[in-house]
Amino acid sequence: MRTILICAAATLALSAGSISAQPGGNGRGDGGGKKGERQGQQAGDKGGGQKGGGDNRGGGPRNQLPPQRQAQGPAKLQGPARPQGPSRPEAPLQRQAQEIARPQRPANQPGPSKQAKPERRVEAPGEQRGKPDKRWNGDADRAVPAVAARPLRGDIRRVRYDGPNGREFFVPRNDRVRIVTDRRDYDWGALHRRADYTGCPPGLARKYNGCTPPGLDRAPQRAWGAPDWYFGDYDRSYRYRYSDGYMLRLGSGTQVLGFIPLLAGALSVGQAWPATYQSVPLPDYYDSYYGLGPADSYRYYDDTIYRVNPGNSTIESVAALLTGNQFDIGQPMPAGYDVYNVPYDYRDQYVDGPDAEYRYSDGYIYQVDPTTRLIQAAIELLA
Amino acid sequence: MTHLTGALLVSCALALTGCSGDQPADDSSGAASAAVAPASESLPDALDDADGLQTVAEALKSTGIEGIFKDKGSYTLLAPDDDAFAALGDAGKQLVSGQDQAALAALLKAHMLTGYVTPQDIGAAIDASDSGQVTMATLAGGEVTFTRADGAIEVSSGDGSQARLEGDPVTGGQSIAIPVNGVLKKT
Repeated sequence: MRTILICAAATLALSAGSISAQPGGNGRGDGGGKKGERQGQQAGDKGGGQKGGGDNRGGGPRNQLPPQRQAQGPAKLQGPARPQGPSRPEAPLQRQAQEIARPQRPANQPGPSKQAKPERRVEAPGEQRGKPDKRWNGDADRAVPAVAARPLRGDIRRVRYDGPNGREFFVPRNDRVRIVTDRRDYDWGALHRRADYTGCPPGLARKYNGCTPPGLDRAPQRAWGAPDWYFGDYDRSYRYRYSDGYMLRLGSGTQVLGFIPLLAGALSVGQAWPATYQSVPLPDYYDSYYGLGPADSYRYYDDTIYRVNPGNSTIESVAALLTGNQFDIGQPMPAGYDVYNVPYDYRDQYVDGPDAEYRYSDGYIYQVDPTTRLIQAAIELLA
Repeated sequence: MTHLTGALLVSCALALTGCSGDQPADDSSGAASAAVAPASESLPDALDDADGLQTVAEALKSTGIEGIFKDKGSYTLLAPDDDAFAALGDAGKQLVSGQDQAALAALLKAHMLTGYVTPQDIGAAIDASDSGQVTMATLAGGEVTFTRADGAIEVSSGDGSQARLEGDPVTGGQSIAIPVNGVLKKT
């Protein structure tokens, strides 16, 4: 009986649910829709760019990651494939961006009256763009997504962009997002995501009388003694063993050649960030999204962002975990994003429909063409 | 009892999926769906109040991963329940003992997805797929695969570990936890 009463209250709570967007954010970069837009943009909507680095005081990586690992980066954002040339080439996807001053209608809401019906500029699924999607019943105007959606906001404007082959597309926009459709804000490819350091880890030589941790001469006693527990991708031409918060790279016998510091191990809250560890500057957008602050107040390593005390470099908290998946505008979505995963606060703006699907990763929402699976836009979340 | 009732109230009030006492969560409520509204407290704090999820809640805190839930980053945790950790035996005890926090952090990352995923979203994606299965990338660099089995949603990892989604999701901040009855990493 109590459960029934509780659930009744829950029903009321659901029906009266309200929405709260988070404050903050300072978008940067001349985002999508800059050219040809008829309505003004929000202040501060300018380019991303790269943030100044933190410590980089030698002791850098011995070697880089295996090729397959280096090929990735945390939520890499770059423009569509095009020939190398001068910086800031003309944007192929953004040559024309036109803002349509009408609210976006979600696929899960009843269609508007004839008078208010928005102009449709793309083909309905099942007509010219491949087979119908099971989710939309082949009828774009009556489609009902089965995902957990929310009523749409009233301040959404649909901005039109010219895509490849003259195919235009629309991106829902308001002042809490910045749309990127053309260019690379940050060179993730140049990033050393998980450096492998040479020598004995700090402190182990003293602790084990010459860097000889016990157990290195035999197979790991637990699954987490082996590198596979921590990494799907590592240099398999070496032997690795776990010890004292590090993954040790071994030479012949038990000789320690190098090491990788691990989250919650050598890189745990309260530990001082070793001065020899290379720090990496991240995009300015991440400053606002993850609330990182100045460049000397965070460190990045192995798809993890740490907050550090600028004064003594003590790790204060783990700020973010990143997927390391690569997203290139104009290119297919990476594998592993089959499920709608837009954050709750943006489910009232970006809902899967017959014309576009949305997937979130590492601070960005990506708009994807449901038919071609190509990424059309990256959306920075400013609110 | 007060604790449990409070947890039930929170989970029922927030869950779009089933709210029917002991019944498993219904991920397919269809067109009348609404997103699971997150609670204002952080996910680790919400898990603290959730029945049967104390081990994973403590693991988030002891590894420092709890810090990621305090800002705008959005995550989904496939949260092994206390019984799932207990089923690991000595290995599970050692993992959660605090001896090797790095190992525990790696285990948690294998249960974490980027973004906000509800059971209903997963069910919808499965039903829309031709193969009857969908994959999501984990923060450990691998993938997990979701399928329907015996009226529930099952999840499997790359090493063959399997678990079943069960119970109502727990929300907090920008993130959500979906209880699962197994650990998705072979120990």
